[in-house]
Amino acid sequence: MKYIAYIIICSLLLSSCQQASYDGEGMVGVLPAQKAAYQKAIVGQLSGHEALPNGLKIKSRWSSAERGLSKDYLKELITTLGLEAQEQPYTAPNLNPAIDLILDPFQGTNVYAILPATNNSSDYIVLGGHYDSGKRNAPGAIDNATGIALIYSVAKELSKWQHRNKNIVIVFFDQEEEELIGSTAFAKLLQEKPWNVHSIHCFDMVGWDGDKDRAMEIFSGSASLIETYKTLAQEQNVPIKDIKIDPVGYDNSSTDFDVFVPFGFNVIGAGECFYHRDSSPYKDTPDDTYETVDFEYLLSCSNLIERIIKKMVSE
Amino acid sequence: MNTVQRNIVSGLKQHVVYMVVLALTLLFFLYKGLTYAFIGSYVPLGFIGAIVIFLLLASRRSKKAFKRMLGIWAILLMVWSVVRLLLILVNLFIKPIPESHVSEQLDVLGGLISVLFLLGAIYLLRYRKNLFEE
Repeated sequence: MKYIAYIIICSLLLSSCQQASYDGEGMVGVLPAQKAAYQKAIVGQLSGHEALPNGLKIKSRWSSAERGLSKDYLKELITTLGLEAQEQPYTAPNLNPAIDLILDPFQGTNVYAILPATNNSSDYIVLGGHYDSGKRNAPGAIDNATGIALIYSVAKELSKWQHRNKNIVIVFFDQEEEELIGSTAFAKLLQEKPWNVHSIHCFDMVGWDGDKDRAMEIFSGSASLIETYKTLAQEQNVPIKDIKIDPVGYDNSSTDFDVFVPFGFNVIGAGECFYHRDSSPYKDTPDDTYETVDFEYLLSCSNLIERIIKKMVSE
Repeated sequence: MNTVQRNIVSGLKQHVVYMVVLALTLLFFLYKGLTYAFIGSYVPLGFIGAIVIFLLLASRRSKKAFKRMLGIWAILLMVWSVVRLLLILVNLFIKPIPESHVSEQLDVLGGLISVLFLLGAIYLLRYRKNLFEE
């Protein structure tokens, strides 16, 4: 028995040796100047379709190591906007308290940055999307590299806009696929900040348009947000399929949008028509690849969201 | 400290390995309890707190009560280890658990830790009588 214990202890010591972590340089490279092209590059890099300039490939964003690599990539991606990337590491208990006895807590990292207003404003608009993928070996091209590409393009275009009366926070949530852990942590962070949060816009899956109608699906408890989206979408001939939710007693847990509702934030979720049954059939599978992404649809949605946020930021 | 407790402490001092194994198992769960309490979950702390309290109460009562409580602790450790080992067997050999947070903990390293605790529990159960041998 004694010898077995010695062998086990030695094995534990050996297996606890950590690999050196990557320092994050040279993960994004020089992105193309044109919006459609850099969106393709970002989705390609995040879903393993393209190798990163340093030779690594993000084949999936499921395991903690893969999410760590993605986190480093996103931090560098943010710096290409001329912004300072910030991390929000968090630890969260398991969903069932009894599981806490058996397992360790959730650990993850949200990545965020602030595009400041051009005047002295304490108002904030938050653009968020998750960066993890749903299952092992799932490249997560549509779910949710497309959401990240959309947020990046909106921030990039708005960084050129000189009439920002509100600050814009872009945030990439960790562990959405494991019951919205990252976005819950970020919601708590928002409560601690002295920010006046005007609205939160969450994007999850913006890459499938099977019926080619260019429609976006939005869901919110805020009639004013829905109205803003619909009005501007109409001007751009983009159909909107909206779902008005009742915030009182709201208790859904399917995407990051859901965690912000009970906190009382003015929040809207937007993406491809998931609830209207025009959504990627490859979600959470190894087939959620770059090749399945409708980049024209992503661009169309990005242009619409850019207009919406520009309008809100200018008010 | 009453006479019973003094005898228990004396017994533990004479059986250093037993004392170390007992202390390590208790400290592991105490660390877990404090970690979780810090993030707002109190079940692990409540669990280890109850164990420690019962051990202390038993130590004040009699050697027999303390021995019984050591046995209960050892059995709880065995249950904990076996549950984890079963989950690890499922994860590694039957059907991989889809959640990475769970799957990554129920791997070979997790299995080694569970085996270590199982061996420790068996040791605590088997040799608890030795503490009080004259």
